[in-house]
Amino acid sequence: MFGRNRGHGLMFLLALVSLFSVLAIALGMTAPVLADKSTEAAPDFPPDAGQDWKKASQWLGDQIEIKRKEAKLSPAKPCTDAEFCRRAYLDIIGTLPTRQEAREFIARPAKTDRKAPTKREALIEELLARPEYAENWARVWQRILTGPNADYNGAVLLQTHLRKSFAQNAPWDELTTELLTATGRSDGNAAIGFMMYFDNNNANVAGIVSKVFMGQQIQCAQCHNHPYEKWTMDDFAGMQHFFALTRSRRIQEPKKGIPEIWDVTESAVPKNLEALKQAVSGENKPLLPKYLGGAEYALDGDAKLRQSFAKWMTAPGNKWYREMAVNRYMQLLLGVGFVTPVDDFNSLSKPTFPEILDRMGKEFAGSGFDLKFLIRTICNSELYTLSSVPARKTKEDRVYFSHALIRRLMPEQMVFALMTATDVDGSGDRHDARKAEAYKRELLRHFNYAYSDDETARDVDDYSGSIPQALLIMNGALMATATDGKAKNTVQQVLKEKGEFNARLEELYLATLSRFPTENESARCKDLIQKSDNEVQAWEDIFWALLNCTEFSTNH
Amino acid sequence: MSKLVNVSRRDFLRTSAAGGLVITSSFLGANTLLAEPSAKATGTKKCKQVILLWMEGGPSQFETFDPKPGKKTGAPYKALETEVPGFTPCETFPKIAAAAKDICLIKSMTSKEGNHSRGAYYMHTGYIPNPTLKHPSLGSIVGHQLGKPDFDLPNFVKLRGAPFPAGYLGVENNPFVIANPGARIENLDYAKGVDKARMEKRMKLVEEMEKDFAKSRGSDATDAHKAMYDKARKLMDSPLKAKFYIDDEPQEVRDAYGKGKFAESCIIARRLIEAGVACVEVVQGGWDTHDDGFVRCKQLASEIDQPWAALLADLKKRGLLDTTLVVWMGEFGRTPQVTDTEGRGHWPGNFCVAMSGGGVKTGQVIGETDEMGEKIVKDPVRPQDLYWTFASLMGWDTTREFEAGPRPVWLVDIDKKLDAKPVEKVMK
Repeated sequence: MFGRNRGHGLMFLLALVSLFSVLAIALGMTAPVLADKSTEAAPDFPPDAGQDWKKASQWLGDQIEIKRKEAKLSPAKPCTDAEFCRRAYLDIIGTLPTRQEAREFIARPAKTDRKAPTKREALIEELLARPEYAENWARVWQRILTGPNADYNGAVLLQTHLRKSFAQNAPWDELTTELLTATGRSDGNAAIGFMMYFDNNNANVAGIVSKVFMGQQIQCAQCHNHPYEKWTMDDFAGMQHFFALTRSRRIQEPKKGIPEIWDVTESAVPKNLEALKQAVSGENKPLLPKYLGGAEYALDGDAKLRQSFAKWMTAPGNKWYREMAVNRYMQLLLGVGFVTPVDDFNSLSKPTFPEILDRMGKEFAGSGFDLKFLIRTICNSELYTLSSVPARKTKEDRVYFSHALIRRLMPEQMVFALMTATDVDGSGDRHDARKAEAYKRELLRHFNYAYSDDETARDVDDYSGSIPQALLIMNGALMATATDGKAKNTVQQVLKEKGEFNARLEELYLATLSRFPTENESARCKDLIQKSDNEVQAWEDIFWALLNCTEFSTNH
Repeated sequence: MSKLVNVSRRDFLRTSAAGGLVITSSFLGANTLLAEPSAKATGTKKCKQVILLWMEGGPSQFETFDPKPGKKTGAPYKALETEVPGFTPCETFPKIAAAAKDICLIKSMTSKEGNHSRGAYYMHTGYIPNPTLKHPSLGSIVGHQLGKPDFDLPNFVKLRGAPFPAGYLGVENNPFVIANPGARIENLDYAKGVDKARMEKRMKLVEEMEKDFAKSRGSDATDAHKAMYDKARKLMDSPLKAKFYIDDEPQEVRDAYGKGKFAESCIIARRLIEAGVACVEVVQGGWDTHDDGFVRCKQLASEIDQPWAALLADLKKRGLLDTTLVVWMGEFGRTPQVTDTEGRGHWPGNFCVAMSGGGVKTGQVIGETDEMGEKIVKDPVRPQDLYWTFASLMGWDTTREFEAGPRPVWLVDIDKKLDAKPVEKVMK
């Protein structure tokens, strides 16, 4: 895959550039410097980068271990198989293992033979290959790109397109380029959902694209030169102008059951730069499009403006682009990455370990921007396998990955976790798939509404929740069905399947917390069951409590 | 031991300043731009509670309070003369016309955002929308600044409309949204087959589980969980819950407010204010009158005129108006040009905001537009100025720096270049 990158020449220039970068960092300046300012950056990494995730994974773990040793920090104990299983399901496919899946994984031998992959490696592969992988990451990225409202037309299309891309494991640069350059009608090309969402507000497109794909927050410079960063209003306008020749139009109102139709078009670039300047600037100060932190736009054959921009941004040598993606996946899978907040690579909150991030970025670009390579690298590394019970004096650590961080479930994860755990899917007695789909959508809407949380980059330590959120989980319709003696749900199923106390309790723990109960927990629950005058109700209460505790509503 | 928490920009700035290290030139720029707010909150701080009557869609200034009768651009209604010079609402607002002494009308509100969501954001927060930073809306700020942390009811209740997250103020300051005011609130009552005793049994089990979890992993997550559940349970069990419904409201009071969802919402708003809720937002949609505007605006006026006037009178009667600010506004106004279909487009250039109570000097009109209602000729008021005015009336802490990610942000915009300030004429 590395071969699709451009030549490896310009060694001298590269050396000069890296020298300059070091100087720049030493001087507290921002911004990695792109190798060649006029076009996209040439790759600046060795050809073996991104060729072997096992090596990359091992390297990542080793490097962090060195850092921990320097800081005299010990890592937490390795997590149990049960913990690993729950974590991997939530992170990779966005829901919990069923009680059967959890039991099966815990019981699996560590390795079938010497050459076979470990059971944890194998699980990661299995999850990456499941259809829910694409569903989950489509939801995750739709939220990052356009916010929590998934019902809006642009967002619906965006999710549709992303599902397809993730199912095919489309490389990140290809996927990004498709979103940024899409044209056509909404009934033919779902990729236009992204541009459609912004409804011709180029300022917002520029702000989101810089932030999400490059970790550069330029939005403040829309109105005044950035107070803290080097970005000026001209930098902002320069970015915005790449989207100025694009138009999103609604060409058909919604009709009975058929959603409205939109059309996104982009006009050709005028062959004369003066004319282009006028065309993109409107009534404002005439300025050419300008690559962020780079050169002004120069004529680029027949490429449309957005194509030139995407080519520049997704170049393997663009350090911002590749490192932003790595940082995002680290944050999604581990709670924090190397830069915090996740999408804010500014001049002063420098990466905790720039050289590790640098190498990881190169591995990712070298893999051909293979997102599954990135997930394999992170999830198979030692960082991902530690317990969330911190070792002595490391509770506060958010830098050295010395223990797994406790992360609250996003509303979408909560919905799917609850549906899996309770076995309530709204499909009714006749298992109507359409009914189930509508039920799922309704739950997602309710949970997003109740959580009412825009922050995809919320601080990992912020566990606060709203009143409607608690009310929904305590008293909502799903919970009522899940603890209703007459409905189809896990509790009733387990009571039917198993007659003996321990077997029953095990199933309920596996369904909710993906682990077996401790002795203490067993004793506590046994006491409750024995003292109750209505055993079914007592089981329902235990199940309700399991779904309403922190251990359930977090990923640990 | 080395630093375990990622160095945030703010910490870095503090460390560098204290340690006398080199501070980058960009930061010095920031310092001059933001360090000292040019405005000061100067009001009487009399205002303790707020009711926001939010007119969703962008109410026409012509068909409400700046009618320009007889002009080509004007409303096709008569304008009413009132006790207050310059306050000449359309004839569709007879009750509000009669309450002229209790209204301070700003005719010269001006914004730059003519798109619904952007305009609504600007008027709800006093900041231009920014996809990388979420500002809290008026109600969340009021709840945060004036609300009681241990109150049974949420400090900010929103009647209809979409939730507007409190952004950097955190989810605990989110609005508590009631989608269908007057009806039973979703999930607020115990589920079928569950009573208080059974809930207590369940929560006891949860508590035990929480203890185990916290013992090995620290209590940050379980503390937040407890805080959330405690608040929710307190609300479920509170007698004040009855304030959300109007079943026990006397008939004569209901008659005074009139009929319709907006009227019912206004009664609920008053009940909640009386109970001590810091801010209630009442949403009335339908103002996006591109077509058939003259008929629709008349209809909308008939839905809000009586309840709004009754709300002011009711608050006054109960001695609450002096300390309760009532604001009527929407995201923008509408074009002077009338379309072929008797509607008007979006027009952020000039529009109206009305305020009552809460230390506002009422019985006056602020600002003026030209003959055709196309331009402001006196005292323009920007959303930032309006929010400084709110800050002034309520005594918000305008100097406090909040952290939104690594950057500082203030409740009101203190950008020097913008030079926003309170509208002094509003203050008593």
